[in-house]
Order: sequence, then structure tokens, then C-alpha cells
Amino acid sequence: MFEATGVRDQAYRLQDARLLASASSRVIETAEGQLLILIEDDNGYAHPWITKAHYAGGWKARVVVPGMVNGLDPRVPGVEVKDSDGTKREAVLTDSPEIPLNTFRTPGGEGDKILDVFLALGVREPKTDNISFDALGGVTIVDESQATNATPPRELRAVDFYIAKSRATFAAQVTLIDASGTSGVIVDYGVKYDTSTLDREGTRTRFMQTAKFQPVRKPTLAERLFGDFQDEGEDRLHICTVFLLSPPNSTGEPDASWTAYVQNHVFWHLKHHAPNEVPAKQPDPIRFHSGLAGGLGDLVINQYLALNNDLSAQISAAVNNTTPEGQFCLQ
Amino acid sequence: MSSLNDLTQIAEGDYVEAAHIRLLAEQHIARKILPGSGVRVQTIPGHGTRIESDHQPAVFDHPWKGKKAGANATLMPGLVNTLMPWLADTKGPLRPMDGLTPEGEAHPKGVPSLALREDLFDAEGNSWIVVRAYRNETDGTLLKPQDGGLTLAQVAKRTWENGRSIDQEDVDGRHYGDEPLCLLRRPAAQKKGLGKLYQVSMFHKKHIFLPAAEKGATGSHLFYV
Repeated sequence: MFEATGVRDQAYRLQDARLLASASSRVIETAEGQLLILIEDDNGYAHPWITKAHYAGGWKARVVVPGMVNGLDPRVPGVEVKDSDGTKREAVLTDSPEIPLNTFRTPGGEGDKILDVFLALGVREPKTDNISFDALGGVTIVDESQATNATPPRELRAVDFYIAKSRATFAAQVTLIDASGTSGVIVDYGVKYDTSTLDREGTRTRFMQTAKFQPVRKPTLAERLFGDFQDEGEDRLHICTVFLLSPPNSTGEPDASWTAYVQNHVFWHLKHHAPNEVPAKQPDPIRFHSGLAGGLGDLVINQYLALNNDLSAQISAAVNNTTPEGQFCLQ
Repeated sequence: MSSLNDLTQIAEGDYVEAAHIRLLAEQHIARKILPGSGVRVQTIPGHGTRIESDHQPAVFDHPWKGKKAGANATLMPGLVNTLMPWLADTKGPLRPMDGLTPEGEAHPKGVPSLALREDLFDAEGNSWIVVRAYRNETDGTLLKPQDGGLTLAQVAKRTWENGRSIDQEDVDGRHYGDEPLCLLRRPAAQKKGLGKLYQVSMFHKKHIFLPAAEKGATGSHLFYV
């Protein structure tokens, strides 16, 4: 006798036997069966810093091949691993740690263009209102959100990974001294050193996660001359961006139904070089005089001007030669 | 009834219909595994289906690519200022790291390997395979590899930082600089073993010596790509 429950149990087994895609494979349903294809990434060569994302109770990223900076792999602040003896410590990239993705941005808008590949897959630019004025002062507003799009909309999220290398930083220190007995002013132009970032973070490179990568802002010449600018004390390099794409017509935060794409920006091991180090002996400030010297006359003023021109050249050279910014280059 | 889910709703006492059997047959076909590119499928009746892959990652034999075998490491040939390091090992005397004679023939002692030491690890479990470049005392240029002027070594201490390698002196009074090629990493608590090898450098290099800016200070070696 053939029992109905036997048919049901067969159906359960068939459900369990279904093939699922994985990080290294793709399944295509055909009329003859399920076609399993293994995915080869980057022509099969896994380059340094190559990052992959997967979902395991939350989205996580992993640097598959650890990148090196000055011969050492970066540490991963905020991620812990356990050694074989049970002790916990901060992870480094050679541990191949799983890094939870805990901060996202929604690409689109100024300075964060959505890549064409995602537009083609159905991601839409953020809604903007097209406002125009006519000659009589009338206002016309066109709601762009009313535009039709045959492709079902999809959501996109992104997170950036970068490396940060601490270093010493410099700022100009301008001191004005009132020269007693004259109507002039003595100006001391010195350099102030700051190693607070270096003392706090150490020399080892850090592998960091952020919603949107921000490069270190470079000071203008005026800011450096007048000492208004406080350098951040580190150099940064954008390593990769992890994009998460939702299924069509999906809302909410990224979950297992979303698909991950990683855009890698760096493919080689690196060396970091900051051009200037804090000298053991603090250099003397450059001192020059400004203004009339008690009315002693042109001769004295001309002497001051000649000296000031010399000193101005020294200051200019000092500003040009004491840039704190470092560089990442190939190892 | 048109899906596998419908079949799972069948309860005890229901009639088995021809449609059920036909649907089961259709689903069997739909879930049959077919081999795609690089994949072999072997169905063993009564046991299951084995999936095997021919997939091999592409090989990229770049300069300085390291391979650890036991207590020795062999590196793919690399150049510094177009010169190839020479090293000696237990199998033979000083010879080029590509294992060829100057005439291009295979050296009778083969490709030299670097003997690794378990005691050359720092407190964090790091050790480095470096290319060691000896400089001419007069003009800072590289000494000849065949005189031991350019060779490989294993070190426990990083003498390179900020993109430059500190000028060091050996027991014979010769000055040299080290540039890392590979990192050996073992757990910090482990005091034995040679750990796992990671690549650090992948390019041929150029070298210049930078004398100290002040008298009494130490110069540095700049290795760059």
C-alpha cells in the first residue's frame, strides 16, 4: 500500500536536497536540473587586502589575504580573537577575523554617486524635487518620485574600510613679543610638535570601518603659517567598499536576502613613509623684528627689511619642508 | 496543486493521486545536479551525490614569493638594483637564489634555501625573511652578491620603519640594511615552531643609501619599487 504520508516525506527530502548558492558557487535552474557553477574571482588570484562579505547572523566582512604595511599586518580595533590557550586579544589581519558590519550609509547624493552597475540592477537615485521659477515669479515643482521605472526598486547600503597609520604632527607656533623701548614687535616663528595620536594608537597600522571614508584634510598654507590648523596625526588609505543590495521591492535593514558586492581599491602590500620625524633637539624658533624701530630712520629700517627678507625665505623653506603628511607606497 | 509545498501538506488518510506522483517525478528532475564548468558530479546509488571540483586558483609566481618546507624557506628570485641575492645553505656554497650558474646552467647544488630558526622570533611571535644589502663604505653602493654583499636572512627585530631601513653593522664591521620579504607568524605563547609564512613584498627593488644628515647620526637604506 502506498501511503500519502510517504509522498509527503519524499517531498520533504526533495526540499532538503535543493542546492543553494554559496560564496564560491552559483546555481542556475534549468529544465533539465540545477546547474552548479564554481565562481572564480579575480581570475583566480587572491591579491593582498581582498575582502569578502557573508551573512552569518548578521553581515560580516573578512580580509581573505592579509595586507601588510611596513612588513606587519594591521590590527583590527574592536574585534577580539581567542588564542589556543583561551586568552582574548585584539585581532590582527593574519587572524582572518570576521568583522561585523555595524555602520552603513545609503549611497546617492552629492559626493557619493551610485555606481552604474547598481543603477542597472534597479537601485534608484535619491528623490529630488525639480524646482523652477518663471519670469513672473511663479514656482513650478516637479516631484521626481512620480517618474516611472520598469525595474522594481532595490535598496543599496555601503560601508568603507580603510587603514590608518599614526604619526607625529606639526603646527606653526607664532609668538608675538613686544620689544620694550621700541615701537616694534618681535615675532618668533617656531614649530610645535604633537605626538598625541602616536602615543594613543601606537605605530602599528589599524584596519578601520566607517560609513563613509574621509581622507585626512590637508591644511592650507595660511593655516600652517598662522598655526590655526591641528593636523589629525595620521595618514589614511581607502582599502575597499562593501555594498549590500536588497532583493527587488524590499525594505528594512540588510539581512540574509541581500547580496554583497565588494569594490577593492588596493591590491599590493604597502610601505608607509612620513617625511619628517620629531627631532631629538627642538629647533630654535625663527625670530624677526617687525615695525619701526623707535624712529631711528631708514638705515635701520632697511637693515631690518633685508634681515626680514632672509628670515621670510627661511620660514617659507621651513613650511615647505616640514609637511607632516605621510605617504603609502608599494612595498 | 503545482508545487512541492502542496505535497508537504498531505495528511495521513488522504488519497494518493496520480498528480502527486507526477509532481514528485517533476521535482526529482528539477533537483537533479548537473556538472557545470570545473565541476564533476558522481551519483552513487543508495548513498548520495558527490561533487568534485577541478578549480585551481591561478598561480602568480611573483618575485620573492616564499614557500616554507619544513625548517627551510625557498623564495622565487628577486632583484635589487638588477642584482640577484646569493646565499649558501647546507647543500652547497654561496650561489644565486635562482639556482643557476653564471652561464645559465643549473647549479649542481640546486636552488639554495634559507634555514629557518625557531629562536629568531619576537615576543609577539613575528619573524621576518629579509633581503640584506651591504653597502660600500665610500659611496654607499651595493657590494657584489658573489662576495656576500646581497643575501637573504631571517631576523626577529624590525629595523625598518617610516619607509627606511636603519644602517646596521655586522661583526666584521660591514654596514648593511634589511628589507622585509616575508613574515613568519606563530602564536605569541608558542616558543617553538616556525609558524605560517605570509608574503610582504612582491616586486623587484631599487636601493640607495642615505647618509645621516648630522654627524654622529645613523644613515638609512631606502628600498623602493
